[in-house]
Amino acid sequence: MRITIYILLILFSVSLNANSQTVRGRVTSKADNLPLAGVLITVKDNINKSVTDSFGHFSIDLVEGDYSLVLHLLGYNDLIVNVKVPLKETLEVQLASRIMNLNEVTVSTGYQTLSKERATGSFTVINRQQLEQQISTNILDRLEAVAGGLVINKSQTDQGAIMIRGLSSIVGPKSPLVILNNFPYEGDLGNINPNDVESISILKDAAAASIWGTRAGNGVIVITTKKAHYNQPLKVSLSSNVSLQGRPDLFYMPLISSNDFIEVEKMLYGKGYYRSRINTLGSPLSPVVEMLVRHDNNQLSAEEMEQRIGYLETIDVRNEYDKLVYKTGINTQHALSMSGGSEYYNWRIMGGYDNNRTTLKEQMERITTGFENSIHLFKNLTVISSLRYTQQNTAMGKQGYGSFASAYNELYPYAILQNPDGSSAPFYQYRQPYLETAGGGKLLDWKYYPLEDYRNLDQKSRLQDILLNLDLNYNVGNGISISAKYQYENQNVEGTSLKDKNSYFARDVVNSFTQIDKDGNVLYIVPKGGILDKDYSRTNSNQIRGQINFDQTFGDHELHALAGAEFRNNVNSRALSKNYGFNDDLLTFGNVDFTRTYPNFITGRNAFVPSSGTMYQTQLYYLSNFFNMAYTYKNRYTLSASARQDATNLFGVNTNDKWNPLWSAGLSWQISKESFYNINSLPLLKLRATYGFSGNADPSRSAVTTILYGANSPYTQTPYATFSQFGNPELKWETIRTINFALDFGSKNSRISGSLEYFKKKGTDLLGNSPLDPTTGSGLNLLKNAASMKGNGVDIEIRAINFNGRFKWLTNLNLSRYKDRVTDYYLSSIRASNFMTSAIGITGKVGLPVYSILSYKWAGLDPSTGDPQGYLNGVVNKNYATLTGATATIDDLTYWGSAIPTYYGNLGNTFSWQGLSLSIALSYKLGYFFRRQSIEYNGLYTNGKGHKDFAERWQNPGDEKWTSIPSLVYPAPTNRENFYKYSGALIEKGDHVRIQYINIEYSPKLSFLARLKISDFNLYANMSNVGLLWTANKKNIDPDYSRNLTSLPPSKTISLGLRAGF
Amino acid sequence: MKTEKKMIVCLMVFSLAITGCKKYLETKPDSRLAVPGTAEDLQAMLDTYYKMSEQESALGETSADNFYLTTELWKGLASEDERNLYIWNKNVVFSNPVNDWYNLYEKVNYANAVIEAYDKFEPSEKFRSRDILGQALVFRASAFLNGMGIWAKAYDPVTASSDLGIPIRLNTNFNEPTKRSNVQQCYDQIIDDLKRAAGLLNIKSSHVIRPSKPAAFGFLSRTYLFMGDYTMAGKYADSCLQLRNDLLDYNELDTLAALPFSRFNTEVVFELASGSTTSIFVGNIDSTLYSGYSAYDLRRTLYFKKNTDNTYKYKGSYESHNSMLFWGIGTDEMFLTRAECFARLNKIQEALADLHRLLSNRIVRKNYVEYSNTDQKELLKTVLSERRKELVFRGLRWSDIKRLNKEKPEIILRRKLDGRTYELSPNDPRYALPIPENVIEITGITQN
Repeated sequence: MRITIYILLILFSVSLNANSQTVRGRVTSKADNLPLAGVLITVKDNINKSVTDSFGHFSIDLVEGDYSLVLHLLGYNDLIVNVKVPLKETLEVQLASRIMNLNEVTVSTGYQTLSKERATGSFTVINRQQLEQQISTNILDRLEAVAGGLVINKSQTDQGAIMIRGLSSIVGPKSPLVILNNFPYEGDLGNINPNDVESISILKDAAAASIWGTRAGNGVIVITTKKAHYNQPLKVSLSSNVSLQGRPDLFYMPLISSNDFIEVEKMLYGKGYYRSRINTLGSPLSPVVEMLVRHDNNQLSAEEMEQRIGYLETIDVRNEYDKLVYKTGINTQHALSMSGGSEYYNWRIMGGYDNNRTTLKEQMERITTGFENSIHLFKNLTVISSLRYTQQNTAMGKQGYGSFASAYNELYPYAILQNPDGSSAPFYQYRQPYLETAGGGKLLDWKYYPLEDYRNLDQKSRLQDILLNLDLNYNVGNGISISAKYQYENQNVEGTSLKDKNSYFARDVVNSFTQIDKDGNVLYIVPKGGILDKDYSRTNSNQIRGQINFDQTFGDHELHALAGAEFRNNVNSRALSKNYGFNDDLLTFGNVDFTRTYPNFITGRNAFVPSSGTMYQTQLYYLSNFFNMAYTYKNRYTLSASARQDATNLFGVNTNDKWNPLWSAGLSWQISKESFYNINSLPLLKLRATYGFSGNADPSRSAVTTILYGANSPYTQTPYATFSQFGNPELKWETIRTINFALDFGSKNSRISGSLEYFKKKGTDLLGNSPLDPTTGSGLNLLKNAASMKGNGVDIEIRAINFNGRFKWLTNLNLSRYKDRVTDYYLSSIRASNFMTSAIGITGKVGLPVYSILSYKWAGLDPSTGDPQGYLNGVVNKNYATLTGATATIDDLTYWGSAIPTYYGNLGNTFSWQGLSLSIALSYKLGYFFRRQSIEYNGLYTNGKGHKDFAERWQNPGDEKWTSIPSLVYPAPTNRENFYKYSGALIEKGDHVRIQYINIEYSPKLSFLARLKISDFNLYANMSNVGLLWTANKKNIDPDYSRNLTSLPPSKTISLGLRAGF
Repeated sequence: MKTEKKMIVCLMVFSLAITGCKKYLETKPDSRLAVPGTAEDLQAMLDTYYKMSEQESALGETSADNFYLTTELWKGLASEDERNLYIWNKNVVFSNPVNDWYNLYEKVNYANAVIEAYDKFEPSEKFRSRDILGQALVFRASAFLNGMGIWAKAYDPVTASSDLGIPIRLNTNFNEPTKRSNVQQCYDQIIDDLKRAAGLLNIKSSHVIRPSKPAAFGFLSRTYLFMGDYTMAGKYADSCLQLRNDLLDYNELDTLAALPFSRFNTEVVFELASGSTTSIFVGNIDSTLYSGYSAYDLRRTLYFKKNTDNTYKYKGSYESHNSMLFWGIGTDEMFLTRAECFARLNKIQEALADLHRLLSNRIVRKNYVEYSNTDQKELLKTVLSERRKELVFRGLRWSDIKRLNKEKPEIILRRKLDGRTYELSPNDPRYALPIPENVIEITGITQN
């Protein structure tokens, strides 16, 4: 690496002539008067030349006489200025952008900012205007609606993960690397004030991302914050908005009705299902079962029972939650920033305040502040420093649906939260008749009141994040500059959870350990009072980068190169503690003996008092070298290359194995600049091609077996240790090779512009979990290089100005296609049930998409019993053990299609007329399938988890004609349940179109605003999470929110706000 | 040229700085991580109590005859595996891949990792840490022994070299294919390990959760007993009792207590615990077993509690827990094993003395009458009956049935459900439980 730099230095250093006059000048841009850096000034018939610095200044030494100076900067028209030396004053020159209508788009890679025109790689840039059409606390939430080439993959979690051009790896981190300005951001992304963001660049292909090496395997997102400029008058901007978030639509959850649930409970009671629990004091029974027991014990008359049960059948707990718990949420967001700049100094100060109150009254308050300045310290040295500080306080609110259950793992649907007299209804976590007499009045109340328990819980966290940047740039001259960048980040989170003495949690723990002797003396093993949990965590990171840049133009040749090295460390530590008998007023707490066991008051079972004194510390070190260059000939042909090597302190790997080099190369050709090019209607036409590798550093790759120390054993009082990794030296790195071909185009006046990209991906040694023989004692799965794949896709970005008069209509369309297939599968087991899991895994069949939806073949319901049926060797069969067993392979399954969208993108339209504009953004995901939820009888009996499909189950012969929901059986065989769960009956098309947001903006041109010098004033209203516009499934399922029974789409949000600048 | 010099200086400083950073690449990413290499590391692995000591398999006991389920209780079992297990059905017994087979071999792997790391120690360190090696060997052998009771047929000296045992894994190499050893090889390995351990272990460990010399003797006695080698079984029971012979006097205990026994009580030589299966936990005590206790037998009230419907549930776990069962070595078991061996070897007085020693601590003091049988056959019957009554849910019954049926095929197990009777006749091949299907599929080993 170093040798390369020496060669560059020697090649391009130019000696200066000392016996001459100095011509000084300053070059600015015609469009915005901002200084232009990197302008090459050559002198006709003379070897002298100069390049402007970041203030646009240049100086050139010439002997007296007449000269023609040629000013050249990529993207600008060359300018020839005739001067007579000596020159008395500084020469002021302005350059005009070459393509006047196409605003110069720059992309930021975190290492450099380059004009999109010069780039060979694939970038998507989202500017401030697009980002500002949405309101959110977290900036990345805004990408899905406007960015091309990415999709939020919700197959694994409800929040989803950003997926750029298909999934790259199922092992290791799945989310893209996020860069804030120059460095990876280690803190919580919620710390970034969205109003502070100028643009976001998404690096999509290997050429764009390879500068980030092994961390770029899932793509890179670069967030660039707003900056001040030199020679800029004071600028103040203000933004303020308020959002109202509707209550969640609890009825979206496909839950069993109270009526049906009670019917099942009665059936189970009749069959003696609850018999074993009736004898056990520990397990609570539901109100209906409790009534059935009392009826059998002649403590409740049949009439009264029927009457009470009849009432419960009319209850739906979702109504209770909707009415009593959830309220409209309110979010407010304010931001103020000021910036200014003189010739040698510029500064920007910003502040933001967010206050969110969710539908459950959870509070979030965030203060973001920042100060950034740039000083031209002395000749050629620029110092940029910035300090950002974020503080975020959150407090827990009410307990929403799903936060507790009684009698089963899920809450029974007829639960009543509030008594008719308005008091909070109690719930029992142990048998009700027992609790009512337990302890003879000497215990604390042992009932749980979900409606008010939150008042006794004080759970909050405080996050503080400091981000410090120091950036030194030294312009050596002759196009060479060196820079050193440093970033320090420290994030502290202090979590406090106080369950006060009246909280159920504290009462339950105290009661469980209470001992009452024969004489009625009460001994509290756990002191009465509150329970205080503290959780401190700290993330500390240092990043240092040294970089040499070379930017030089000579004749038809233009070279931009950079090389450098980087060191990064990241230390995470965490400490947890617990105190019992805590008194909030006096800050006193009690002592507990954690070393011995005590009998549980109810079960007599011996247990330790739970303790949570734990500490963790992880430290990661990264060391990298990188190199990047772009050479342009005649402004038309560009060749780029990039390489990077990364090393980390992976445990148990030899240092030499820690370095993983990745590289890429690219070419571009501006056809529209060729002399033969004569399509006037298409002034921009450019071809690009890149080739490169990205990889995933797999943190679990380890050559040796390692152990992880846990806590102390309560018996021996010595630490114990468990296996952490099993040495797996055969593992190879995953590599993804990407080839990208692209065409950029722009019509006259940019009426239609955009790009068309085609990419091919080839993945080898993809990691997957291979079933491991449990007899080895090393777990159930072994990480293995499982498969190879090939994929290809198309990303189309089109920006169109449909009307451009008083009425304006702009359209932004992003369309992506992504398809892949397994080309080689190395694992031996292709048992069908390996692929019938809810988690996404590599499909073990060559030719199918890497992530496919497969199902058992479905042959409808048995007309006489309502049993689900499949096919065995082409014949209808009900032997579930065989259908789902070891002999069924992947070849016996129905293949439906891809599990991730194969077509996706978004469409934004903005209509504006006289300062009023309306924007509507749609997003779509097409060409994929998902597995929907349905009734699982075992889950219903044991966990109380019921799906509304229960109502439409097969009950009588003939029902099979209109339903595919199997009949109720008790007990329910696991294989029958699994067969139905993973059968073709439950596969749905995932295709859907969603309205992401609707935004209305009004920018009035009012005279009083002008008098107040308010240059930029607009009011806006916005509606987000609008909902589905169309979906292929007829079951009213939002495919993005169908992972489990309680998945809920985010509720509609309406915002109002204003922006002003002066 | 000045600029170039400056540049070169900058570069040199910078590259030096980066070279200096290289040492960081050797830092542990997580402070709690280690490559097992020190005696402390190995002891820490063996002290992982929830894997090494608290997940013994209860599948044998679940298949045996100390309890029964009514049709209602049986249908109410949430797990289909347990429903099948109860009626000795070979299909759908291991739906969950994390099952008793998995747990057993995970424990074996911990022990193997410790043994492998120990083998790399310097000779002096080896000598200092010999107790740790002994512990690992006891853990491994006890795991194999429990596995043999569940997945292998009863020991028969004639067919032992052809009968299939369980896979004996002696290293941590997960690429090594799994094969089933024969019954003889399995028992040989268990005995080798235990004998070796007995020579390495201290007489007393810092806690009964760590193996000690008497623990190794206890397992040797148990192993020989299952093999029907009564001379050796008696000899090792005696060795164990030479070192540990305290008994609890049940007269001192509170029969009304929900859980009358304290954990790690004086009878516990070595701690091992099994999580009960739901079947055992919800099931009722076999009525023949219950009626076998005399009115003055304290075990009747200390072991069992009455349900509302005049059936009985177990509460007598030495784990002082109602769903955790004691699977370790107790002095009571050793007295009974020694008594049985004495009886079989026609040492009548010695056998009676052991019985007396135990039962005088089990029967209400003022009503205690000593056994005075002198007929060998009758005495053996008495000892076996006392063994059954004393060692309820101690993980021994299934293996006892197997070895006793081998001797005299007279114990027939029956389950009555829904008007149907399921029967397991003596020496039925189902006495060796099925091996989890996924193991068969991956390894291709022979299913039982």
